[in-house]
Amino acid sequence: MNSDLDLLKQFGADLGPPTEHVPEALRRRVLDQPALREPALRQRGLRELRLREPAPGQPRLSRPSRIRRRISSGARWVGAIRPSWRLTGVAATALVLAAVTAVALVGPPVRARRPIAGPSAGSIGGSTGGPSTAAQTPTQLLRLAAARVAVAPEPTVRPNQFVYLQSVAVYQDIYLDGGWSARGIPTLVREWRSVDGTHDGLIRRRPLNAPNATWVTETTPGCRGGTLSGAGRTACTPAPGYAGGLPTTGDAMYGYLYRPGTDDLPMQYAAQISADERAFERAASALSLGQTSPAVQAAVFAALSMVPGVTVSNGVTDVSGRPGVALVHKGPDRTTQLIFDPDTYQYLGMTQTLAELLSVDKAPDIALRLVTQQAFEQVSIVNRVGELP
Amino acid sequence: VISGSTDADAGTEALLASRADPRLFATLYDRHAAQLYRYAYQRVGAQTAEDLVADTFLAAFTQRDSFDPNRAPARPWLFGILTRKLARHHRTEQARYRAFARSAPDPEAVDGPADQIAARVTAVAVRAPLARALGQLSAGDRDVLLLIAWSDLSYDEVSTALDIPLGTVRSRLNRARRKVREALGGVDPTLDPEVEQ
Repeated sequence: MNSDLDLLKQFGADLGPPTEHVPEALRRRVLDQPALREPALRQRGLRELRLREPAPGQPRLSRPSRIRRRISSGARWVGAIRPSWRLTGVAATALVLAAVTAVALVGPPVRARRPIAGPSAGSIGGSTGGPSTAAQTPTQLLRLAAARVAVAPEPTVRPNQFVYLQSVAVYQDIYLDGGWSARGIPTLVREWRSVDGTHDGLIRRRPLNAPNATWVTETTPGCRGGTLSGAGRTACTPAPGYAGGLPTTGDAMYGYLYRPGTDDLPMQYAAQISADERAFERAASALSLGQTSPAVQAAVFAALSMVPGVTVSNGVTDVSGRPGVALVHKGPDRTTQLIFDPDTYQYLGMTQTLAELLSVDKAPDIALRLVTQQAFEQVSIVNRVGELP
Repeated sequence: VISGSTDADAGTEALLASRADPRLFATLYDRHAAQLYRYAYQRVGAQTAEDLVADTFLAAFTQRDSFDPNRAPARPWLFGILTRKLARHHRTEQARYRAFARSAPDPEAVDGPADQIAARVTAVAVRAPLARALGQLSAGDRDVLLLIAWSDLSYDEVSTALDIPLGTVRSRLNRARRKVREALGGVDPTLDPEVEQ
């Protein structure tokens, strides 16, 4: 039976490779692509670092081992605003700890790049220009930043347009054992977010210092008719790329930053983060997502003035090498900096250092520091996905 | 004809998880690279196979957000991508079949246990007509036949991979097998090892 198929199978065996071994060069060719060696970058601004429990069936490790496993085995950013991207049911298997880390602590800074640019001067978070008064306190810094966006007009956008964001980020895993760390590659990221969240967006990445490198392209599905584009019956809610549906008054933003919930962070990890820390991190996310909206930025600045424990640090540098002044919140195991241009007080990006995890596991011989950096270079509104301003 | 369901599930899981952490894409590669490479090698030879499989995985990576796990596992999805890429190399594939059709392997070179020699001699003897038959099939018929014969995809998986109805899979397979049998002399050659000699 099936004699012709049997002969065909035998013929296929004769035509096949001499061994079952797949060339190692092929594996390297596929898996050495920078995009396949980095933690996920579905960045709609600062994403909070999340830890996950082991997948069902995986052995529970001792606490030091669990920390090591979390650091070494994977990483992910979780959308702070766009739950439709989480796909938690399918992505919960092996994903543990996410980190976009920076080389600032282990290598020379990236060359200085041009200041952040808007589509037209002042139209979307554009600089008002001119010298400014030096900020010495958080209140001064926030007032200066608020004053800057107060004079910026709210742009007119259409639902079918896209928010274009260009940023620089560096990805890196840091392993606990022996304090070893690996340098990440500065990556240029171009992202197109659907204004109303129903159109497919796009993310393109390439190594920052390799202009001729091939862009790695990733489609971010829009949410149409309650289901995620191209993902079968995956339910979703459209997440507008413009302002992200964020509050536009200080009080409302304050309530948003201190809203209940752990943002999908397992409770045992969430308990290690204070409400103020979480509010500050959420503020960083809101600033990133709201870059196209002066009203949202002003609301964040107003709300941040009510967050306790915030300080100012001068003389900082962002991942693009630009000098800045930072609004800093230091918690027990993490320090978050929101970096502003020291002259114009335009928001440039953020740096977050996750540290002192060793205190969680009472393992003082293990040094750990995870640094997250993102620097925004250009923000604009374009008509088509993939279109450059 | 379904095979490797556990691996297929693990590969699907890895593909989905790679949306959040691209490094998990390596698991998908490790699950399916050998099958894809073998299939591509069979159809277009070593060098082109390596290019096509690399392109297939990179395409899968960039398209992973559009993968629908409710429709099919990762394996037929990957074979679908590979098949579309193979279509651009039909000349290479045809040349490969022509070369095999012209070759005259020596059945005397076959060695092994006695009970396997007869079947092996038959297989060697029918290589030329099989190669000719494959080269003369339409691309659609050949894709269906070889996905089933060489990659052990089920009818459902072939339907998914090629994005064609199940009935079309069956009709293409029947047509392709009929032509292959005709090329072999219209009889079952395994019943008579001498038929092609």
